Parts: sequence; structure tokens; C-alpha cells
Amino acid sequence: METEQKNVVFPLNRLPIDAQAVICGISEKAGGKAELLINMGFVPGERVTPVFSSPAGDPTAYLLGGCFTVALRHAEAENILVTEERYGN
Amino acid sequence: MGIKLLKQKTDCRQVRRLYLLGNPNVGKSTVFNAMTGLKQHTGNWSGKTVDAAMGKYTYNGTEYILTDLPGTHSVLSGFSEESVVSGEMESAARGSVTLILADASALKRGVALALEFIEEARGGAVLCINFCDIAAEKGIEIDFRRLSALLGIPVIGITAKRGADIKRLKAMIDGEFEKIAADISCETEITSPGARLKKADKITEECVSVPIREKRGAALKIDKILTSAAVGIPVMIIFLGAILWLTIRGANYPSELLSRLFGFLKPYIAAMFDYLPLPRFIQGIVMDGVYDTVTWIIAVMLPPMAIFFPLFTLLEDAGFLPRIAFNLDKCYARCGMSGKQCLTQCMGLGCNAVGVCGCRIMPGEKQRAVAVITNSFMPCNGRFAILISLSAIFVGGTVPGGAGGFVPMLCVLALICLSAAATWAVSGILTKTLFKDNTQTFALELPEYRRPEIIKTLGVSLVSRTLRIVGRALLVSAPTGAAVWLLANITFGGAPILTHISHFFDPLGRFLGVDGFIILAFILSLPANEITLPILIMSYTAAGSMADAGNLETLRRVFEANGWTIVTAVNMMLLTLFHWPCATTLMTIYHETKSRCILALSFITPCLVGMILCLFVKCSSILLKLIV
Repeated sequence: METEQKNVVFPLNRLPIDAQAVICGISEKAGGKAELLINMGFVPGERVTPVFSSPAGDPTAYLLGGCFTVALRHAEAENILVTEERYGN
Repeated sequence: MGIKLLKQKTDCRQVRRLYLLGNPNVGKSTVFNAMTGLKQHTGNWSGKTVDAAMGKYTYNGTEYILTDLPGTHSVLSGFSEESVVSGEMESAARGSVTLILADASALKRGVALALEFIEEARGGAVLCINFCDIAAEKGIEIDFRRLSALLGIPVIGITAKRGADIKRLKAMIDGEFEKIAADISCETEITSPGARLKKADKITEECVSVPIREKRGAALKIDKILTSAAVGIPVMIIFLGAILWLTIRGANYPSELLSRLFGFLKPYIAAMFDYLPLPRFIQGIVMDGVYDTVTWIIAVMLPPMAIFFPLFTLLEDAGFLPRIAFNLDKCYARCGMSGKQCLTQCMGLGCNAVGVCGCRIMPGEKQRAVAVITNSFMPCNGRFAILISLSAIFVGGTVPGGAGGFVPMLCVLALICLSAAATWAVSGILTKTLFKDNTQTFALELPEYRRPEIIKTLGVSLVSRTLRIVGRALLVSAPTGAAVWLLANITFGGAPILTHISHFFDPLGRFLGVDGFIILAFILSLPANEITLPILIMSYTAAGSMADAGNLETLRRVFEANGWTIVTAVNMMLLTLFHWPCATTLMTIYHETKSRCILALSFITPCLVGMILCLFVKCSSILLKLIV
């Protein structure tokens, strides 16, 4: 049960603040946005941590790769799939 | 082929081409300015530079042309804000060298960009690592030699604000230009972004001594406070209020001093005319027309600009503006817009023409059009000074002391909030009707805070922005002042021509709760908003001159003598916020969008908003009078 939980893939917007995860990929629902997200640095294998949310709760700022902060709305973050375990490699 | 190569070589010898490429917000504009001595406006947010800028410098007898490309995440990408870069890069010939600029604290990004550039083999490249001082403070050590060996291109570490470092960079480019330009990697294997990033990760880990992710604690804490529900928005308003208060209080003294000085000088200059064999009316044009208008603008408009803009630039340089966009994004999301519109509005606060250019950072054509149309809702610095004067006269009173600065500050703050609210309302209507856009995206980088270089910022924003804008205003105001003086002094059928014209606009003015002179002043100040008030004052004081009109108390008497009430003043302020954009902005809008439709909408929309608000104020004041 525990090992299953660890490898579960879920959308980035469900990741709680300050928790770290690794990006597995971009959902197909993203359509044309996928390229933009990849260009912003949301590439598979990258570490990502939500660091703070705006007063209204949306958007949320994500620390990417430990050095770069990008703010995304929930609607965008939904398309980014992450896992808490290091994936692939 | 051989001939072509030869030709390129000779071209290279005459002028060497350099490109400046980098992730957003790594200090490209700072490096560009330092190398070329030009003053491109810099700011701590990504997308500040939206157009490729070119500059020249000569080193050791060789001329270099440096092109500053807007920030990009990828050498090839088709997104609106990055399209300029890809296009520019196409023209980068083999004989060129590209400086790939990276932030020492976020080296991996720069390394990934460098790897992509090398793969694309678009010319020689140098990886130039900026902000080495900040990185050193954080305890980050970079092994430049190892990095250079792994990447296969020269690597240099600099701190762009240090002159010696820029000299070192220039010397290095000069010494090795031919070698670097010729040394194009043959590795043409195109890797995926993911694989490239992993490679960058590996290279960075090998060359950087401290894992950077541990070092963001303090900045993160500030961010968490500035974006928290309880503190975030109040802090923003307090910051803006503090800047406004400093501007209003601070501008009082130099304004007073300047208008006294000009008032003191006037009789002496006028006396000189008595010795010149010129007709009497020439003296009228020059002294009461041109001199009064020009000195009024210097005395009343210059001080607030000279205080507000450097202060605002400091906030901008520190990296505060993207946080505002982040905090307010939800409001923009409700209107179908992106929080980035907030950045374009902030630019509009300086100059609407700049704000309109900045709308290129908006995602998608439709959102960009809406941002362009609503940009003039933000009072640019010319209109800003009108608001400050009027609110000081009619709302705060002219009493010196605490209340004298505090109440007008609240008034201007409220007006700016009203502008923001109008922007949201109109954007919401436009995105639901004319510019329906279902593909909203929002991705905004939040750059690290940087300690602004206070003295340099003050100098640059004072000289390059304030003086240039005042210069433009003076250029327009001198002939307008002369023309208005003539109109006010040539009588036709017993009254000055100006009075006849304003009578024509009087019904419209009365309908909106102002008068014909005010409407006429707005029409005549189409070339530059700064001249609205001088024109108005001259129209009112047609018979005499606007002597000592720099004094707020005198101004109040002039306005009250012409039937101004508090409703007139409020409506004048509303019309200042919402009327057509100035000629420069209109030209920029057409140039940017190439659409007559958007141009017309940009003209009509603020007029409609202004009319509706004025009517609302007028009707509610009538209702209030009926009740009381």
C-alpha cells in the first residue's frame, strides 16, 4: 500500500506547499499549452516545489530545479503530472 | 560558396556583430547598456525588453554592433514574446559571436540555453555568467574552467555593474573574436528539452560548489509575507501610497521655488523687449504665451515626475512589480486576462506609449488588444501631475502641514484604484464580447529580489526618462502656448476667438458637468497631456497673463472665479483619467497593432468611460442637492 502511494502520479496543483515532487510529464489535455510549459522549464525529471500562493489562493509560485520561481494558475498546473518519487532515470 | 564566405569575412573585419542572448531577467539590458553606453531602460522583471535593441561600441579600433535580444527560454520558440528573438537569430550569420548571459545563482538555466545554442550551431558563443557578486554572497563557487571544458565554449564570470568587469569582457571578445566565431561545434544532434535539462543539471552539479537550492531562505520568507492573504495587498497599497505622499510633499518645495524664480525673472526678460524694435503683440506671444506655458510646465510638472519616477524605478529594480502581478492575478483572471496586464499598466503609469509597447508580453493577440485598448486608463506622468495639482487644490486644500500632503495622496491613490477597477471592468466586457479568448494561459516568472543600485537608478531615470519627457512636453507646449495666446487675444465680434470656440463646446461641457474651456483644453492637448492645465489657465486668464499661476492658491482663485465647484474638479479629474490617449500613444498603438479597429476602440473606449463617470457624478450631486 505504502509503496503504491509513493509512485502515484498526480497533477501538480494537488501538491501541498513546500512539498517536493518530480515532474513526469505534461498531460494531453494541455494541448497547445504543453510547449509553453516545457519552455518555461516544466520538463520531465525536473524537481518542483510549490513555495507560496497569492492572497486569492491562485496562482501558486513553483520553485523549479531549486533555482527558479515561476507562477502558474491552477488551470495550468493541472496539466503537469508529478510524482513524489524520482521517476525514470 | 567560396566568394560568399570571403565576402562575409571582409564584412566581419569592418564591423563585428555581437548578440546578447539569455533567459529573462539575467541582466541583459544592464550588460548592453554598460557595453554600449546607451541607456535602455532596465527593470527586474522578465519581458522588460520586448524589442531587439542595437548599439555600437568601439574597442581597440574595431567597431562592434551589439544586439540585445529579449529574454528567452529557448533559442527556437514560436511564442509571442519570444518571436522577436527567433527572428533576429535567423539573421545571425556565421561570423557573429553570441554572448549567452546567465545568472550565477540560476546557472542551470543558462547552461541549458547554451547547450541548445550549441546544438543549433548558430555561430560562435561565449557563456557569460552575471551576478557573480550575489552568487559569492550566497557562497556559490563556480569552476569556470571546468564549465568551459564541458561546454566547449569560453566561459567568463562578471558582475555587470562593475566597469572593470565589462572592460575584461570586451578585452576577451576583442582578443578571441575570430577564434570564437570560427569555432562552431559540429555536434548537430538535436536532443529533447528534458534530456538537455538533465545534461545541464549534470554539468552544473559538476562545476558549482554549493547546491543553490539551499540558499533561498530569506528571499522566500519575504515572498511568503508579501504574497500572504493578510499582508500582500495592504502592503502594495501602502507602498504606492508612500510613494505618492513623498511625491506630493516633496514636489511642493521645488515647485514653489521654481515658480517664484520664474515669476521674479519675468519682468526683467520683459524689460529686454522694450529695447527691441518689435511690435507689442510679439512680446505678448513670447512672454504671456510661450514663457508662461513653458515655465509653468517646468515648475509644476517637473518636480513630481522627478520624484515619482526614480522612486517607482527603485521598486521596479528590486523585483517588486511581478509580485504585484502575482497578487492581483485572480482579479485579472476573472476578467479573462492575465496578471501580466498589471505590468503593462505599471509601465503605462510612466508613459502610455511605453505601456502599449509592453503589451507584447500579453499571451495571445486578443488579450494583447484588450491590454492596448485599456492601457490609457492608467494616468501617465503628464496626467499624473494634473491629478496631483487638482487634488491638492480642491481636495486637500492648500494648507501646509500633514493634511496638505496626506489627503491629496489618498485622493490620487483612490483615482489610481478607480483606473484599475475601470481596467478590469472594461477588459471583462471586451473579453466577453469582441475579444473572446478561451485559451487563457498564465505563466509568470518571479525573479529574485535584487538590491537596486540607488544612485545609478536615480540618475538614469531622472536624466533619460524625466528630462526627455519634459523636453517633449516643452517642445509641444511652446508653439501651443503661442497659438492659445493668439486665440485668446485676437477678438472677433467683441470677444476673443478662444471664447467663441469654447462656447461651441459649452453645451457638451455643461452636459458632462464641466465647461467648454475644459473640453477645449483636452482637445488642444492631444499632442501632449502635460499642456492641458496651462492651456486651461491661459483660456481663463485670457485678458491678463497667468502670472504666478504656479501658486496653488492663485490657481484655486482662477478656477473658482470661473465657476468651478467640487463637481467640476472631480469631473475634470475623471476626464483626465479617461479621455483619448495622447497623439504619441495613438501613433504607437497603430504602429504596434496595425489595426484601425483597435486604434478606434482605444480612442473611443476611454471617452465613453469618462462620459459615463462624469454623468454619474453630476447626477448624484443633483440628487444629493435635492435630498439635502
